[in-house]
Amino acid sequence: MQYFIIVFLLILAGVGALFLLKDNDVLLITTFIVVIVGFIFGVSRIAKEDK
Amino acid sequence: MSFVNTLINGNEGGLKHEGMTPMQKIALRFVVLGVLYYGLAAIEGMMMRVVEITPVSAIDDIHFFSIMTVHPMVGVFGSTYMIVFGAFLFVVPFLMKKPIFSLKLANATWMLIGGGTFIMWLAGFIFSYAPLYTLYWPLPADFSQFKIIGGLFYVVGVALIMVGTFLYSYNIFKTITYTPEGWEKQPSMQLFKSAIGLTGLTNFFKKKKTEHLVDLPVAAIARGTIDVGLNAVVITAAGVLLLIFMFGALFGFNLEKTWVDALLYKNIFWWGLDLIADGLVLIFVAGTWYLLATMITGKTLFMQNIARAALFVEMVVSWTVWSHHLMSDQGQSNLLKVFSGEMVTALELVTQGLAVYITLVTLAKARPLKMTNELKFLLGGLLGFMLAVPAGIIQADLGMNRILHNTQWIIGSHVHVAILVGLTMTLYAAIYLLLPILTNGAKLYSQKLATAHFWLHLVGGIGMGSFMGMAGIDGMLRRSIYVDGEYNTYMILAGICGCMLLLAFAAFLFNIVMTVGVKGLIGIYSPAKMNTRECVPAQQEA
Amino acid sequence: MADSIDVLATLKFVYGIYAFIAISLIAWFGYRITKPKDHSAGPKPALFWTYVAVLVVVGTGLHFLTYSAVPWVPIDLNRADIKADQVFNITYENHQMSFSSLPMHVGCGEHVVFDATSNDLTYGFGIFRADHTMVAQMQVVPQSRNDLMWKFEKNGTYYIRSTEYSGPKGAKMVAQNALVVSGCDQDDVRAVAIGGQS
Repeated sequence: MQYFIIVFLLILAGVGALFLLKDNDVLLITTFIVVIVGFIFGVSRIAKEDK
Repeated sequence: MSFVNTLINGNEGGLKHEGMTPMQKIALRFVVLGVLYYGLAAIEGMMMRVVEITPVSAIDDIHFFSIMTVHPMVGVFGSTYMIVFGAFLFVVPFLMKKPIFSLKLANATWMLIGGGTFIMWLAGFIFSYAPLYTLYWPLPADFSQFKIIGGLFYVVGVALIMVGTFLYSYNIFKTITYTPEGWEKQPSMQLFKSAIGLTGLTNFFKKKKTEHLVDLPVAAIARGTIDVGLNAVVITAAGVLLLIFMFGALFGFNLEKTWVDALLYKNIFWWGLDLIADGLVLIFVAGTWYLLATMITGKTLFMQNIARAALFVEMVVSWTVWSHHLMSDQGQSNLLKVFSGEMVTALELVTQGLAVYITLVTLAKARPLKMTNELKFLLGGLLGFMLAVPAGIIQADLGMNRILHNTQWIIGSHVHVAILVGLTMTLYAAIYLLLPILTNGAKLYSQKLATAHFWLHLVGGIGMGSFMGMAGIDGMLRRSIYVDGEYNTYMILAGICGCMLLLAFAAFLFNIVMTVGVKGLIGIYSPAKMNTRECVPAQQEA
Repeated sequence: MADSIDVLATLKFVYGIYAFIAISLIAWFGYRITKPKDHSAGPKPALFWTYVAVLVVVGTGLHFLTYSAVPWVPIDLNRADIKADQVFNITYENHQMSFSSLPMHVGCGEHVVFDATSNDLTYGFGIFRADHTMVAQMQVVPQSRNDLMWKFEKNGTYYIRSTEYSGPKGAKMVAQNALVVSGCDQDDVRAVAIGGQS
């Protein structure tokens, strides 16, 4: 369940990024890193589930 | 046996679906739908081929571009995702000798992706929604050209595909890491780390290496599925963005399209899409080559550890290469163009080159081999990427991109050779290899048809890509209509090759239908009679 | 100075040879794989590492080669530091292109900038010869800088075509005879040459 919540939050972050980020390479790459780390963290929550 | 009898009941008894496990049925449900969607993409592809030779009154401009919009979506999601997800949902439990986590989620996945693809296709077919799959902002929200209802169908269809995709990714990682009922507690975190490559990465720095807990093909599936999920996040976010503007337009709110920076959108969109094109495609294909090579030869893979490392490198590289789609966007920084677009992209020549080498040496060391259908198609798949990857590296160069971007070279020599020859032939190899396992030994109806399938597809695919590429070198653009026959010779030749591809598909489809029978095909979708989580029936395993 | 025709002819030649080699290699491999092996040893490590080195050198070396051999690469990368002799403004809106001057007259060897602005959708700016071969192109993205610096070394007349899809209405955005280059010793034989030696 945590996986799906994290995915949902990442999607919202993606939508936010589309509206909020402007022409800035550093912010863009930071966004990508956040999404990658966030998603892998979300997948690791699957491994952490009891059942 | 009469023709009609064989058509209905299959070759030599055909597919005895009553004796199939739920896992076998699920895998085949994915594959059958995936093959049918490939047929749809092939037919619509031929329609576009005709217009590229000469405009026809039956297909006007908006119709042409509507087809062009849905064609890659049907091909990528309706066909490729379906076949790949079906195969992997079977292969992961099969190789790990462990039950799949959820049959229900697996069934939900094919229904969502299948249904979603159809709804998305209707956006083009009925409502002529035609912003192309690249959806360059703000074109998908341009309601002076497209109907809002078309956009809604498109977004809803894609959303369903993405939900199915997230369910697939959850099911795969859950299957890898969970402890089935009655089993000893599995080392879940270690399995996860081994699957995605963190164990391998730390091993690089350690003297005492930690053992790899998952097989190489499972590692490939896991790493590619990371990219599947990341891409799904991006596409869903883009879909939500479109929905916001569609609802705004529907309810009369004046949402400024300039609130979203078009270049930023393009960066994010292509970052996401490259996780398919440069990420999961290359990782899944390499993993499938390794699985095919080991199953065909019965031997272990040559240089396994390097293969495993290359899969991890490819996953990380896929996160960094997106700027090769923005080489001709002058607002993109030089740093991103050179570093991301050129230099890191060049590493894909190395990772895919390694996969080709390792696969060929594994096969060579086991010779003599029988030239089976799976081996033929595997060699075809290898050749496809040997042609398409260098073509991609060439166009991901600042000098070359200036004169190749948006020409037929991109979509011909690179994209279609990669997808049709490289990827599709690899998938056909897997289908021919797994068919006996999935069908409890159904006997192929005609070897002659399988041979015809191979040669028509190989020559047609390379030919079509080549003639499109040559037209691109001569200046023919993609996504354009030429009315004065400027590129007639190349387009006629590409059209002939397209016909070969369609004939190849027809030969394959006929062969499969005659192998399993219409009753068998329908039976695949009936509930399984066996109540087991095993991949294959006990007698087959024995 | 090399132009797109020279570069693309080289591409056709080199890639054609490579494709022939790749197809032949797999065909030969397919033939040999069914025959018994004549020796049991696998490939030597030296072969593998040489292969990897070739991949790295070819993959990255291509970019160093084009930087030194393809004239528009250093111009493009360094255009912020090069003074433009002329700037042409092109505006895109409602699937129409408007030019600050038409035709755009360019002198031989001048550094000219084509500065395109889009007021709505994403378009493309492509320079084409009469035989439809491409000289150069760039994307034209709304709210973004879209500047292409170029140096022409041959006389010719070129048309401009949008190279990016902007919807069915924009499928055929063409401005004929939009660019005239004159004053060069050489004519671009694939472009209608109404220039000539000055």
